[in-house]
Amino acid sequence: MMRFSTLVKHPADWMTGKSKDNSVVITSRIRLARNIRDFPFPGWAMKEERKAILETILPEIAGLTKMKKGFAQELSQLDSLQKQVLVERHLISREQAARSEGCAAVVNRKQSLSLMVNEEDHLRMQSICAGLHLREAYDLLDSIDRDLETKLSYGYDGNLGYITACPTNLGTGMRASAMLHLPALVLTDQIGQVLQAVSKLGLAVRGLFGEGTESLGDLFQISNQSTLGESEDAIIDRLERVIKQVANHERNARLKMMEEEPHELSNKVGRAYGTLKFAHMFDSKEAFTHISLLRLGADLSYFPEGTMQLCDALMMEIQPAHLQLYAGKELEPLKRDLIRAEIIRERLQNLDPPAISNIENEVNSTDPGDELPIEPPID
Amino acid sequence: MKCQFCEQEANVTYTKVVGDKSQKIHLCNQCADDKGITNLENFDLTDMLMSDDQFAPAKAEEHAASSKSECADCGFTLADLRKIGRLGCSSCYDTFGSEVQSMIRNMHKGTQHKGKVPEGMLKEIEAKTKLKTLQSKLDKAIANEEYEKAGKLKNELETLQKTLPVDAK
Repeated sequence: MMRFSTLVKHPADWMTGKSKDNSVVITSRIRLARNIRDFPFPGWAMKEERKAILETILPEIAGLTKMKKGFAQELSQLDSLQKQVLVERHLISREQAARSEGCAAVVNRKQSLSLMVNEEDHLRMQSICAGLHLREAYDLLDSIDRDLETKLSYGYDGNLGYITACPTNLGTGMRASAMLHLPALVLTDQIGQVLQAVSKLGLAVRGLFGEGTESLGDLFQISNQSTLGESEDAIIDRLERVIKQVANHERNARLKMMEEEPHELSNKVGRAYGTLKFAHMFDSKEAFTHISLLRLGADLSYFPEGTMQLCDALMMEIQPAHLQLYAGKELEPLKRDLIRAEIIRERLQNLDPPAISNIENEVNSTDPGDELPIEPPID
Repeated sequence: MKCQFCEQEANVTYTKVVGDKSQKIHLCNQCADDKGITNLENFDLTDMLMSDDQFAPAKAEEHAASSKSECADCGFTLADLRKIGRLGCSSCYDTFGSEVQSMIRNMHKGTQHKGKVPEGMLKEIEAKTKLKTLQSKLDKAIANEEYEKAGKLKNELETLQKTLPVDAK
């Protein structure tokens, strides 16, 4: 069994750079909602009923081969800071962190699978992986679901599909989503237009932590809204097509900026680097803004390999609960800003200034487009 | 332009002007016929637009009549559903069936599940559907006083019921 301290000491698999294709689509996630027949939904169940639900589900999910030696914990045994850390890692939802008695979370060692008991539904299963790989994430989760459906009697209806507490999740009970980093679309003011087009296609666009959260660090989540009337495959296909297009727009915008405004771009990345490296106070928003530019610079090869993963880890480490875990105590906002800057300086200690050479390019070459310091990203 | 009631191409546009306000809807031929737009005498745009609106007060009353007001299994009420937008338990979906139907029509691509079916559930669903058809045939036979036919149907029904697990009825 994995302890909480072990869990937080290690980054999730998707963050460690084993996948190199996540410069624009950072992660893909699939979530399935399931309920046990004959029990009221968690939001309506009495304390005893919630406990009975937990006792029915927990042994089955903790016993899954894929969850062996993972982290399994009743949330009532974690303090609010620890729960918040799990939220910041996207391992449990904000809604679940707010609930108490009868809730539990089971996370596998790679932190690619997390199963929540008594969230809005009796069972919410999530798989997460780096890059645009919704299908793989779904297949992994599907295998667990098939295993569990022989042991738990799911609420299911021929017309409505999987029964869920909220009618918005009926049918497949599936929410597929991708986290995208879109700094160039933001810098070139195209983001509004792109996101509007996406929502017109019936897909939802949200900030870093889903519903009702604002976008930080040019991070956007795109997910399906409709769960009924279409198969899992059809939903994933449509979503992947749209996300690929958005990612291509972002890549083109990056290349175009390199070509047309190389100085403005290197100025922005250089300033972000300088600020991050020498500032002593950062609120979340400002830190995210600069880290976003650093991450963009990493994709444009201004920084050595591994810098992008460093940025991804930083974005997690500078969130309030992680900061307080690092400090070992609760902090007021002002103290957080100090520690946030301290962590950032420490992590960037050995990062050299950006290798930017577009002045020479322009002097030596008649066509500046010939000597872009990077290869165009390969699909 | 797509029809506002189904996925078909819309080729009828209906505009109603009241005072200085105008409302437009787009429909395909089939839906236009169904809604009686081609026969304008007893057609009202407001009625049609409101009928799909879950918040329309007049319609909500009607739903209340067709939905029971409290779930026998978990005690969840129609008022709870309207307040929080979620349900209390699986049975609530039967209890508040028509209310739910009007909610999901505006929420999803369709109203019929087309995705995964849990293993072992397929047979059960087929059996349930058959059970329903048999029951309605039986009721009809009895109503028509076709007792010989009714007897046969009753036997068939009982055999089928025995194959179903107890909690699946």
